[in-house]
Amino acid sequence: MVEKKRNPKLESFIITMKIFLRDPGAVFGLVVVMIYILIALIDEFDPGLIGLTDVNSLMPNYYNPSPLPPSSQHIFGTTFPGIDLFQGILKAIRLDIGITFFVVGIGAISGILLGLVSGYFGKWIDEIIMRTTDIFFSIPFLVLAIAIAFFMGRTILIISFALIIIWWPTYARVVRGQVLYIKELAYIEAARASATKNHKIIFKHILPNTLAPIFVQFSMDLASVALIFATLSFLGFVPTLGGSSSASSGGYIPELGYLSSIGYSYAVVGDWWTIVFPGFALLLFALSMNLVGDGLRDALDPRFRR
Amino acid sequence: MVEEELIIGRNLKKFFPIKTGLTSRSNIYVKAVNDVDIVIKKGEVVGLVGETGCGKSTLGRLLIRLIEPSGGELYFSPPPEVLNKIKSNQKLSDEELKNYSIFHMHKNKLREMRKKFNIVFQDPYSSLDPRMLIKDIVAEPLFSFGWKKKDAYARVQELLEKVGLPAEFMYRFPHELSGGQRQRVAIARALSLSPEFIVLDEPTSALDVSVQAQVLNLLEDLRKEFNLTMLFITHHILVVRHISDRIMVMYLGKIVESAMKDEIFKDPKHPYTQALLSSVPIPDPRVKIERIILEGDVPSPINPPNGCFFHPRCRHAFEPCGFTTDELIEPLRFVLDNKRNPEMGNAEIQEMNVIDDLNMEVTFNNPVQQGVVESIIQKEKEQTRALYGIKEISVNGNLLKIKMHEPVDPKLKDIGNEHLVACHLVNPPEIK
Amino acid sequence: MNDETMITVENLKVHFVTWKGVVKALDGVTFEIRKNETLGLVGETGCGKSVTSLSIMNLIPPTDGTVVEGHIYFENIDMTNPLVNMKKPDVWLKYGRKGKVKLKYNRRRYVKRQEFVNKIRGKKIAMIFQEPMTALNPVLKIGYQLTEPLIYHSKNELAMRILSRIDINNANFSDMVDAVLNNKEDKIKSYLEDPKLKPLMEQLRSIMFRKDLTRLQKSERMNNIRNDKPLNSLERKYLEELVENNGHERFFWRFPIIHRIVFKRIIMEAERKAMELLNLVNIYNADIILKEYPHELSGGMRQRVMIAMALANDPKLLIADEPTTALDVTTQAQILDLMKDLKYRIGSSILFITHDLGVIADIADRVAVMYAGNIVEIGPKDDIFYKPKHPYTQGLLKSIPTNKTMKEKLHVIPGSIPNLVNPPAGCRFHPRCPHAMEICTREKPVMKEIEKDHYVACWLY
Repeated sequence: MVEKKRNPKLESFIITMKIFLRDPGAVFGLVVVMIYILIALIDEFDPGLIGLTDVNSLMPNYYNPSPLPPSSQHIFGTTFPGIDLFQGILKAIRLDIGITFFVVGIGAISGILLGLVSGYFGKWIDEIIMRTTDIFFSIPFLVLAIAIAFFMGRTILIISFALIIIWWPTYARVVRGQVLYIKELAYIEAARASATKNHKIIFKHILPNTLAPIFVQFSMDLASVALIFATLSFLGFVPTLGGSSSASSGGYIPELGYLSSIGYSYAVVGDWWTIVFPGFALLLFALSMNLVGDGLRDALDPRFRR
Repeated sequence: MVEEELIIGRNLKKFFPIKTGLTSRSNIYVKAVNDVDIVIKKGEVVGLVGETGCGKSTLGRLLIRLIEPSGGELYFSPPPEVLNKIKSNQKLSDEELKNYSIFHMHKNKLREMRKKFNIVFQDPYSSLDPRMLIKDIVAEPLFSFGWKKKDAYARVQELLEKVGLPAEFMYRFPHELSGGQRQRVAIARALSLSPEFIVLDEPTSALDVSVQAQVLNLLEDLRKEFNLTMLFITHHILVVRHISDRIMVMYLGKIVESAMKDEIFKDPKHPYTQALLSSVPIPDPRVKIERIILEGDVPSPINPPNGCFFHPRCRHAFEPCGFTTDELIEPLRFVLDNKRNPEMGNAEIQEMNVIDDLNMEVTFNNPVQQGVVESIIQKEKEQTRALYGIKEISVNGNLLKIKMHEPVDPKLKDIGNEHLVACHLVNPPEIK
Repeated sequence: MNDETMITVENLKVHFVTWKGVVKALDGVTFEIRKNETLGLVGETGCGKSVTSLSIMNLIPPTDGTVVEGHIYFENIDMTNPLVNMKKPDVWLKYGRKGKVKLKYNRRRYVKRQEFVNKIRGKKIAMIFQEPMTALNPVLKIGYQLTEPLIYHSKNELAMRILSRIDINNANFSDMVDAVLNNKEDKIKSYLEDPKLKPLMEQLRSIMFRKDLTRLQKSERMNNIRNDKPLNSLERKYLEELVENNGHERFFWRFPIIHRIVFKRIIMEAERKAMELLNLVNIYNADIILKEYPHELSGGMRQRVMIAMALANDPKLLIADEPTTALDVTTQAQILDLMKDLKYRIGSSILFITHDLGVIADIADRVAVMYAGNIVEIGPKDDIFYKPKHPYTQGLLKSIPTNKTMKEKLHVIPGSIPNLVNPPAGCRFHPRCPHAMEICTREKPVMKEIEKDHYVACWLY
């Protein structure tokens, strides 16, 4: 055997990273997203590190419920009923990121699998899966989420499942389109001529070649799930944590959308910080995720590698 | 060379359905391969030439069952007793079909058979997975037959050496290689299970002249070394002439001529072959060949012409070649024009009425004479071949009735010396 | 530059800036195209054939690369720097630290230059592309795509055509018809020199070139050519003004209703001209083709339409970039046949770019062989094919399979095409050359005339 002198897979990864890092927007987005994820991880494993105590609750302070402007004690001020916004946002990031990754992750995986099957085998399987996606596309997603939450309870888990149900069709469509194109390429034909089995063709040849657009879609979607949650909270469908923890949260769950929806009624009478800070935290996350997505699209585009 | 049949195809057919709607099953088909008989002998290099869309690639893929056939039988080196049965057109039992016909084989048996044949594609850029290393690409067929990693990679190294690539290429990605090098990798992959038969689908068309020479030399060497049988599909006639022993010419899903190389270049029988060979640009300015310029375009394979598929463009088409009344409308209007042929007097065509493929009526504004029309048709026949299709005419005042000859499908016939031609000029049928 | 040359390319250097470095795509290309000749440009992929044609047409995208040195003279205009008053270049390379190179361009200056070049491009120099499907707009009918540029760029010529047809007297006309029908060369030439009669002469000739008509039919069609509806005074005024003002309309004529009345003639004439153009490329059912969309035509037909479009403004130079590569041999034969006819019919120079030596042997008068951004040999066709001097040309010719090479090994040029980011020093061919000498690795060979008209860039001579 020849000595392995270089690692071509690593080399191509380095090129991708180089192209990605050339884009200042993408780097900014990546840094912000990293900070968010870091905060979420600290919240999860050692909340004391940044001075948080109960990460599942916003800790209302009923002695002094009216909002206070930003001060040295409360950097971002407080919101009704006496919740410290800075701490609230830090806690909310954990929950938002967790739900986001959960929804998009599960949605993407099931969508990718169904899309692969649908595109590769075609015929009636394709027909069934694609018509199912049509059905889901035709229902407005907010209405579906609200309806499910209405009938099955408002716990975060159930709303997440409702979102997953509307999330997978997008991935199924994207992947199917890719598969239909890749399936016709000569290397797939060559693999079939060499008696490669179907599952190997799907997972070794087709899947790796569909991943680039999926990554982009994935990063963009991470932003929009957080926004949908915010929308739901804002509309009044405040999710609860469910189970025993709902008691400890006292009805106030740490969620960015919910925080801003509480602040909404105070902001209109002049307490601007109650909506600006949580809103900005949400916006920053969505924006950075989109910037990362754009950067990824460029970095994974073979045209930029000439 | 042993004269032993390796591949025998009978009535091979591949029709691609055209989807017209969401669920509706259409009965419109692209007849890519239309009733082809083919025999390839062991150790032979057969060149399959033809123009874009004539079905040559489809036939190549059919021969290794890369696509599902629409009809016909294909045998891969059948035992002598079966061979005799096939040759004498006897019906084979279901048992025999299951055992020897590639198209009727069980999935698992077909998988085993795949060791014996493989394919090299035209475009070396799309035929290698861009996300796999060369070693994994070449070893893919080995892995699918359960080779151990260590053995497989050792074999890959050996193969790369055979195709003239250094061993360090194992750890490269396809995009780091040039077109010629990629094509060598594709050849190494096709050879990895030491197959007996390889289909080469335009392997040099995407390459430059100097690289093409390298690949052709390599194929020649490999063929001698492994005693390979090859089907070399290309539109590049000079290449086919260089490498193959026997040449088949395809037109619109049918093989129109098949002969040994020297024979076909010296004495092409089919008018299409003649035109094709004459239009090849020869890189030698002093060689002046009289070009036969074909008029018009290749007809659509969805709805091929009657009789001989080539007749609308043929310079020698005559009575049985299958002219229909549709093809006669324009020529008649052209020929029976009193400005072109003043003998028509003041008669002008008023209406043309096609009754069916073989009958039509022409109405003039003034009476015409049978003799005049007959003499005009006789006179213009040489230039306007479609007039040959007219069997008889009868004039009744203003009305001209035309009857056409019945079309006869030309069959591939051996005219000696393994030269097969499907043309009425060579085997004239009885004209009724 | 003498009278006989159409275009001169001098020491042209083109660089492209990529992720991997600066690609020296052209490295001092020098050649000329003479009047009424076909120059064949052959070479392998990536040797710079297409870059040469793109730089003549000024079509290199300013985000990719630019001409860094050299000149292209066309009718005494330097196409690389057509605006003499422009002191600074519009696209340039900026050399930074650590050997990093960036491509910069000034949008304003670039647009200015393109505006100037547009007057030449498409009119005096036209181009035919390899893939006609991408060059034709799939959602517009052929007729629209053919007539649109005629209507907007050469209204005055269309007006001249109408006027010359209507104004000519009978005696003169029958003399012209007679000249064309009997192929009286001097007479045709003298008529073509008269600016008033030239358009009519061209119309008559386009009928003469048709292969599907008998002599009788031709003369009948020629005599019918003047059966126009007579011009009313408004139309006549409009057309005469168009001719006078070189295609520019006064505001009065743009007034909606008036425009509609007078413009009908121009549109009809453009259609007529489009049909003539299609006849010129041997499409005789032109009226049907004009109403079709590009996808309804076959590949050969599309390529003919492309050629017809290129011919619309009587270009002096026609650049054909691999026009037959995407076609089948029988269709290719049709197109080559047509292009040979065209040279006689319209009398323009052709730069024919291809990688197929067989096609070159058929169509070219002189041949230039390119290798890795250089022209290595240029000379008359027969010299190149029978007395090739440069080792690369020799190797290339030997590596084509012909009837002489049957069943024996083909000649192979060892090695592969060099990477143009870091091309070999000296002669770029030396690493693959069987006769490489010491000097080849150091210095770049210069073009030397070794026989009449036969130039070679090689240290062997």
